[in-house]
Amino acid sequence: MQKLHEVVLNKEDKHKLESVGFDVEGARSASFLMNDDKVVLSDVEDMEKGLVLIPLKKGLEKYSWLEERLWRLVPLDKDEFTRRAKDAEGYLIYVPPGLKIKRPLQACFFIKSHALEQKVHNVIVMGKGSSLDIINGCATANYDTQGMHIGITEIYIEENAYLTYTMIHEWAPGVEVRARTAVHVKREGQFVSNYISLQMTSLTQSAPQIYLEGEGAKARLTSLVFAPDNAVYDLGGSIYLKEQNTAGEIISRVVSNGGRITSRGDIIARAEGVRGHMECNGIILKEHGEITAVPVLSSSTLNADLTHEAAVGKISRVEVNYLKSRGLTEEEAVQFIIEGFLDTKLLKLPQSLEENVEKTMELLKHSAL
Amino acid sequence: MIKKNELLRIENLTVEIGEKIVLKNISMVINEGETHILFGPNGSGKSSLLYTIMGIEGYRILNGKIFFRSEDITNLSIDERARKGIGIAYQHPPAIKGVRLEKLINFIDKESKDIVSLSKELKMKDYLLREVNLGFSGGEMKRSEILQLLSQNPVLSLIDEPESGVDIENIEILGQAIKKLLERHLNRTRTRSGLIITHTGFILDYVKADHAYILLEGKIICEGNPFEIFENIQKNGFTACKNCTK
Repeated sequence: MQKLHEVVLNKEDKHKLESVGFDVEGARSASFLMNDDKVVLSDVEDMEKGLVLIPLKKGLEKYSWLEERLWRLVPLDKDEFTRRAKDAEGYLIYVPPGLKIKRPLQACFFIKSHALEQKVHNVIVMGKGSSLDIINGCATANYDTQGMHIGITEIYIEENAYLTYTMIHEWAPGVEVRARTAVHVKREGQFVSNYISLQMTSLTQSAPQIYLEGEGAKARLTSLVFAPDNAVYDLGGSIYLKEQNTAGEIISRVVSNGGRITSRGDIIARAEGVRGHMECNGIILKEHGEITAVPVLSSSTLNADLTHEAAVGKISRVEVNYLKSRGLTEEEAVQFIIEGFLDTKLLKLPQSLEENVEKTMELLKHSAL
Repeated sequence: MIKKNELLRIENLTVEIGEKIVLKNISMVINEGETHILFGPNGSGKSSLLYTIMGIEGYRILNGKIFFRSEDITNLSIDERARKGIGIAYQHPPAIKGVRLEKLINFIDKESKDIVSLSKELKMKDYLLREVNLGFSGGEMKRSEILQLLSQNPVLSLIDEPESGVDIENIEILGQAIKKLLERHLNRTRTRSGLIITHTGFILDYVKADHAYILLEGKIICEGNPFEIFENIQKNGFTACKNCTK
């Protein structure tokens, strides 16, 4: 397996990887790169002792406990896509108990071949009291590429462990994405997910299932999505508040510039003293665009605090006029407002990734708007 | 005949919003370097006049014309007017979520001005990284508006009630900044002009304005020396002005 500095990328690919947050210069604790269905890089920096990042199949050979964690959170027979990913390669990330990794771990799934079906299966295990920030990028090499990405992700967060999981997608018009993610969080554990996608996709479907199984566990899912003409997004997320004092938040900001977005969210309270909050805001810029917000709050306890706010509509003319009276053109004013609406400050990014994601977002916004 | 130093000329302007006529047959001329004041009770059409000059959507001109530097701008869009040198400070500006004040100011400043020292003068330096007007208090909002105008440096500044909701300390800061914006420290070389709405007349302590109008029910009922008019309003209220001659 190559080290990060040994990976040779052409200029175009390098640029593409950088656009989804992959730092080729390597200010990272560990790096993973999968081209099509082949792992080409799986490299942990020497100084990060104890951190495990290896291809899943190697992980199965090396760790006997992995077998029983495979297909446990996401059932193999969930649907046709999970079944198609039966023998998929991917990564195993394991952070031993107590280990706190300061620099982010980066992973990238890159579709390079035409009409390829990329199948990925990832497992993350966060030991008790450990912490890690992951930045995941997914991209297609050439803009006109057709393809499919099936991603199975199973995440185990043990007691008091903390994981931030930031995902940037940059697919192509003919790429279909079926993500199947489930997360299991134990007592006082925390899971933070940030999702960004501003580009074309024929269909991106993702709805992580988060189970807060231990007292005081928390989860927060934030998405920033821009759908150009013909793009279809079906995004959601479910947080199950299964133990006392668990808390979940689902925040989404979506913009349709002709594309179709369904923004779902489910918060399900099944224990006392739990809190849940959901926010879905959408702006439709163009005719034929469509945004559907489907928030669901469900409680079967006496003492749960679940709230929700949603607003879907056109861009505020008062705001546009305000900026135009400062000399901005109509297009510049709209761009300002949309860029602000999709502000990365809404995400709960670790400090180590803030600047990187902000810069990435600027680039993405620039090409999307 | 259009005079050489004429900046803004409004001729017989009648404007409606929805079905309601808000300005009736308004005419005025503001020359280069002059500052004019608009007095009048709430709902008399003062803000509507500023918005119509700026070209804000929804203010429909039924009759009349607006000339800026001899050019008919009656049908120009807001941003075209702004780029020709008209700027506005709103009484109730909207918040622009996610857009930092600094980013907006850098965008509207076309002359690479020293934004940091300008913002210091207006006690706005700590607000540059805040989102535009989001959660700003009354005084902060006014300071932000004037800071944006200073960055834009328009030839004609339309300023809507710079004192409303502002405490005494902020009044001084705003007064000095508006004086600077309108180049009132200069005399013959002054090129900046203003049209300011005021309820309290505070601005007259900082800007020795040249001319004033009283608007009542969409009409100019009185105009003349700002200090005399203001004194009269203080003594007799707006309604007494109905009887005064132009």
